[in-house]
Amino acid sequence: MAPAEIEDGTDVHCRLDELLEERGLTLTRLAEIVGVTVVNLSVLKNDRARAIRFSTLQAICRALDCEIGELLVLRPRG
Amino acid sequence: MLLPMQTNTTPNTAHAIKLADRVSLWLFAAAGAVIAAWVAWSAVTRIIEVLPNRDVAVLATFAGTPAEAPIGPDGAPVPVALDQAVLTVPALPVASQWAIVIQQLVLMVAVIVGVAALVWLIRNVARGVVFCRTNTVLVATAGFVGLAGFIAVPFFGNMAANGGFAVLSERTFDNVIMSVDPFALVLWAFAVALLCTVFSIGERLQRDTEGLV
Repeated sequence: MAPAEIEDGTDVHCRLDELLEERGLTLTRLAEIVGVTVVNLSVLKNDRARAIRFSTLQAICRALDCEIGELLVLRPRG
Repeated sequence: MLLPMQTNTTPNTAHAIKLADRVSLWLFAAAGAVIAAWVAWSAVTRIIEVLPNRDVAVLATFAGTPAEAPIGPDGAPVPVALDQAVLTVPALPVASQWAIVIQQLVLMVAVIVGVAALVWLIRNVARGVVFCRTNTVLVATAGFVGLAGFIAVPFFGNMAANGGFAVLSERTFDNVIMSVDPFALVLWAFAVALLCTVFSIGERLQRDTEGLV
């Protein structure tokens, strides 16, 4: 069964863009470090991902030296 | 909110298949189209041949009925067990005549629908769309129409043959045989059910993992 869609007026926003800029990294470089394709990282960066593996999340947070809460935040739906 | 189920048959370049595979798929589609055209042509020809109901050739299956064949020295007759033979019947009973017409129509429809569904499936797969609601429906349609034809075509053929036997023997020859091979039927049904299951599980997995990074 597919998980239910949550209807509370918020979206999960990925702050990958901001974190990359702060650390002076590019998406391509992060893809190399993390071992995830640029296409998949781009999906995540543009908030088009619908699910994320724990392993991907862990690898990105380790590469960017950040907490999960810094990478993913809830924001009001635009 | 649960979103309504959507059918996505948009070309997917990420899952595009190799050119060689695409060519093979289209060759299969072309072969299917040729087979469908040939079956339709022979079905129409057979119906035209049967409608006047004069000296109708009917394929009959026997249950090992003893007969003689000229296969001995200098064409001497040798006893053989008859498995299949073509009977020429002066005039078939109306029910048998229509059984042949229905048999040919069922055959034609089953082959055309089956081939059309498979060609549509090939088109989707060649565009990189493998698991989707449309493909599951196409596989199920081709499978179940094929199964229906597999049962109905010999059934109506058997009806026609029994009419032929009744006319030729003046209702004195009993030839009780099963029109469908049950072992083959079970195997086909299993294969069709398996394919439908694979496609519907594939479709669900694809939906569940869409957007997963």
